[in-house]
Amino acid sequence: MPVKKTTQLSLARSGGVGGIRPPPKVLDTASLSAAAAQHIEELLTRSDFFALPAELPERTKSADNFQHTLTVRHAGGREHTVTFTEASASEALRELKRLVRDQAKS
Amino acid sequence: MRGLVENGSEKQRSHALSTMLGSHRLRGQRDMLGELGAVALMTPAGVKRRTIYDAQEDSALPGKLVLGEGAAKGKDVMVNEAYDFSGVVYDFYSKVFGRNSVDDRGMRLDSSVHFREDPTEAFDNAFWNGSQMIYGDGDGVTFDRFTKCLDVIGHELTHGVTQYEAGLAYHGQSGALNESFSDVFGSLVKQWYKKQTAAKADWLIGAGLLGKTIKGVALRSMKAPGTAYDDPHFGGKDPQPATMKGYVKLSDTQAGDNGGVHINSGIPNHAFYLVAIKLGGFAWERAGKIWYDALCNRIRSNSTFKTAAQATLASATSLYGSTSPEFKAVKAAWQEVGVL
Repeated sequence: MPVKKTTQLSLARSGGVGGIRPPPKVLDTASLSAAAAQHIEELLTRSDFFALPAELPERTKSADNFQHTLTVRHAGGREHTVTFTEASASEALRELKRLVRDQAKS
Repeated sequence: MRGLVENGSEKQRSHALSTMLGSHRLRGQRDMLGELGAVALMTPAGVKRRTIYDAQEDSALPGKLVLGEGAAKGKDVMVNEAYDFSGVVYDFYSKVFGRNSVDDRGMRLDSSVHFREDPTEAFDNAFWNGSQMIYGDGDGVTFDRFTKCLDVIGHELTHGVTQYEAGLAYHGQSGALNESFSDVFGSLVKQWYKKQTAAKADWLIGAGLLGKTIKGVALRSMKAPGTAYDDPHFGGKDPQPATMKGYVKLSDTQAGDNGGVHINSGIPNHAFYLVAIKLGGFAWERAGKIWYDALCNRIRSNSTFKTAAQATLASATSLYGSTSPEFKAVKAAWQEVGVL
């Protein structure tokens, strides 16, 4: 029987006035229903995640803003990391971030 | 005026020229070029004008206008704190350094409270977005409301001052200096407000901001960098070094806190603390004056710790002379933290 392949997503935060880096939130699609895992696949496609640049910077001269870093190790073998702010991310990427935050086990 | 520039004595020429050019304020204008919206923020010189908005737990800025200068206060604690503390910061810069607001041209101080970058999550942060201050409510567990601490509000407004003065680039050592100046003047605002001497001050940034269950006292300690907290919610121990021996090399990326700007700021923070303690008395009177002069007149956008140290020495020489106790204290402090 073939090994079931899953996708792992890890969400980290840096910056902020405190510069505090809480422990990353990690999600494995193995823990999700087939429908929820499929939704993650759709968001990865809609955000064009694997084609995004490593950083999505904001254009303002902000200081102490939060930066979010999402790393995806895909069942298909690809791996990619993107750092963004809430304002520089697309709606699909923001939804992906929320999903990882809410569904993560750690 | 032009006649004085061309024909007056050197002092007259210098004064007239700087008046014509708007003095150092012109340098700050660089940041505003092309940002037409900023014109609306300009007010006549010497006027304190605060405006508080309620972002209503959403990300749209500035949000709903809830309190203007001189208007009657309501019951919202965050609105009132943002108003009162930004006023204290304005008064501090005005009375201690003769500075007229963030841009030294009377820029209106805008604050948005109850902000959330993501409406589905409590916002554990305060930041400066290039033109205004923004405060989250905190989640009530790891953080209290971010308007609670005068030094945090002073920290954010000083990001604005730095933007208009040295323009320190927000990465690597220049970014850590940017962070450090915000901590230095944030702490000085609090000390000035409480009329505390350097010896009496706590030298903490954000004391009282952490949730009750968090093991820690503040976001940072200038007196003892690396000791502000130690809690798993915060990823463990406060990572700030006090000296160059502990300098943390992080990647110069957003994910690497732009090269650890909030981490290595512990080194210049501690240098300032050492100067203030050595000189004694009120820290804003001499140590603060030296740092302010360096920020406005000597430090540039790409300054390193070393060039910033040299800038503060030049400021100490200019203000007090090269054989003064002030000069000696500044030199000894930078040597102690391993920068010189």
